[in-house]
Amino acid sequence: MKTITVNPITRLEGHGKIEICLDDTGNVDRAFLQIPELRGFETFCLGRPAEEMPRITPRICGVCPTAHHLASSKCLDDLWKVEPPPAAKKLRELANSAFMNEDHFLHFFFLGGPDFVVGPEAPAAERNILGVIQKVGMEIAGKVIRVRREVRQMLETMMGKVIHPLFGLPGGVSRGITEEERQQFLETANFTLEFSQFALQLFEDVVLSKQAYVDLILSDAYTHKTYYMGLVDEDNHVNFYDGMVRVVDPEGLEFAKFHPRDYKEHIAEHVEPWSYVTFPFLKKVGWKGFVAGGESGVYRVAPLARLNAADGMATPLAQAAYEQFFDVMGGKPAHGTLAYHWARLVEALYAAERMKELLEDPEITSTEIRTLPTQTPDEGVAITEAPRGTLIHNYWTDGNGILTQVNLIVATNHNAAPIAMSVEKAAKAMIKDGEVSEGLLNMVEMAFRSYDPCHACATHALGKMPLEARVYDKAHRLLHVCRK
Amino acid sequence: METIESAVVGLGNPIRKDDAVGLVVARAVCRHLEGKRNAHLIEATSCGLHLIERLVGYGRAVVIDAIQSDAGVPGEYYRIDVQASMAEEAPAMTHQIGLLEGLVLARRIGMDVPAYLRVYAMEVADPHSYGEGLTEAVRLAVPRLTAVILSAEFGMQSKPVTLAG
Repeated sequence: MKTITVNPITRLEGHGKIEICLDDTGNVDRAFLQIPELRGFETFCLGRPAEEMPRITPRICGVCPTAHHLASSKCLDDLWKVEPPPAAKKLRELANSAFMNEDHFLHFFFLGGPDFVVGPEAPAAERNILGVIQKVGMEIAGKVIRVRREVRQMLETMMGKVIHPLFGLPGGVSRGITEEERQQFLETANFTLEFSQFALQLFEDVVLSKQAYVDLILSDAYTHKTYYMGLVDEDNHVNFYDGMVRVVDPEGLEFAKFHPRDYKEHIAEHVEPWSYVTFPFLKKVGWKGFVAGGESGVYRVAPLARLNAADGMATPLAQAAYEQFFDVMGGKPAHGTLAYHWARLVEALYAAERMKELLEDPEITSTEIRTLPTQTPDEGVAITEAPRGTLIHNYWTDGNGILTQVNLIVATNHNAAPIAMSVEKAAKAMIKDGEVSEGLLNMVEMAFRSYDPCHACATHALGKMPLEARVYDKAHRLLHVCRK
Repeated sequence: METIESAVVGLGNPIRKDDAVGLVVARAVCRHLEGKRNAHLIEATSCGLHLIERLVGYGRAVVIDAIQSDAGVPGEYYRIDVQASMAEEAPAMTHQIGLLEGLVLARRIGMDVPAYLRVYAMEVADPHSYGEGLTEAVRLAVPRLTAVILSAEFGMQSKPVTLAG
């Protein structure tokens, strides 16, 4: 136990816990990521009015509350069978794009970026945002802070609060934007668009120019040939807010395309007897274990998956970046897990372009922002894209709109099996004959970090969410713990 | 009233039982301070950059949070003097960007963040279950920690209490 002076005391239950199981020879058999149970949350909501869900679900997690708020609002539309006015949908999409943009920058510059900008072999003390600043300069750090601050201020104006928005309602939103706000937000959009282009150029200058980094991205150690899932519009372009769910196979061919309401026909959840965590998989392929390939129902979500599942981007600059991405990655689909970081920047650019498009649309300042529900509620389903992947909200109510059942499948849940596979590949490289290498967590983290798992967590002041890897023998006796 | 603005930060998730204690104590502290001190309540569910950005412009900050340690007794609390030092390792996920990392960065790039920051952390029994309301030992400790903070940070005397740890 650490003493409380500067060092944090960690909470371990359900947080960032990796379990590695060895076989009889002391080599890795399987590896898993423990994710906190969300069933408790779903139980907590029962008996409450459904319209409270856009207020409650953001409290699942303090890092991506906007995603839950917007998915929940969409779910209420479906629950009450009410169609929001066009301006309301555009405002919600504007909020979603803005959030996607700033969250992606947060991840790239603070988490993924250091692996490349500073270098995976650099000392741990330098592989962080401060190391990035040392390499690229203080001015860049200031711009990262500024772009995120301005975007979040925009979201605060639109939604009342950034962390716990007061914005979405069944049938619309609670607040529109004025012409003055539109112009102010447009300045923000232009700035973030400029920065998004800069970020991609930085990636090219610092990462793509180094063959060693490109080789690492393309290396087998970080490659899984899985299915990929993401929302697409009618042209099969990436869409963060609305559309159909599209799944492509490991060869990049369309495997399925379905309406969000039909998700239960396509996604099932596998249960392991040793864990409360479920592992979603494609029903029509079947669960074949923690393996990749066309015969396995394991699929991935989030930036890399969205780019793979789509045929392109809906905005010109992002489309050019998308084409360059797949050109370097050797074609579609791209299977390198570390490419998630690059895909994130392509998406940030799309989000910025989309913000600008929406803010230049005259309808965005319309005062027609809500359609009052009139139908009796029963069941609602909504799917949106959160920064970390496909987000599913499904509510059932009685005739008074009181929740009788809730099902949430969050992004990290979809990626639970792939993360385990990525961790397993890294662990296999580092654990031989029962001996655990000191570099274990570093390699595991690089794979883990690409997905940016979002656990439903409590908050921390000094404490970081711990990452812990536990190694068990065949009889599930604990052999070793690596912690940071 | 003093000119330095103070932020009283309650850090916690209001629907995860004892994790809300930071919010509860911060609200209680600010109720006592209203009209008497230049202090503002900030309720936060996320730390790191998100919190740092909200602290810009404040001269001092008092952060109140829940904590769980191996040998801790629910209701006990700690006062932690934050020594900003370079984050030693790269975080694996967004949730790992803590207060220290955010502070170091902010100061390094010249953001106007508090020069004085102190953390009060209360040991809790259950910060993970979904639900509203604190467990009994934690709930009973709220007035004590509130009084300690009012006295130590704002010079407002109340019932004498004993600091644990």
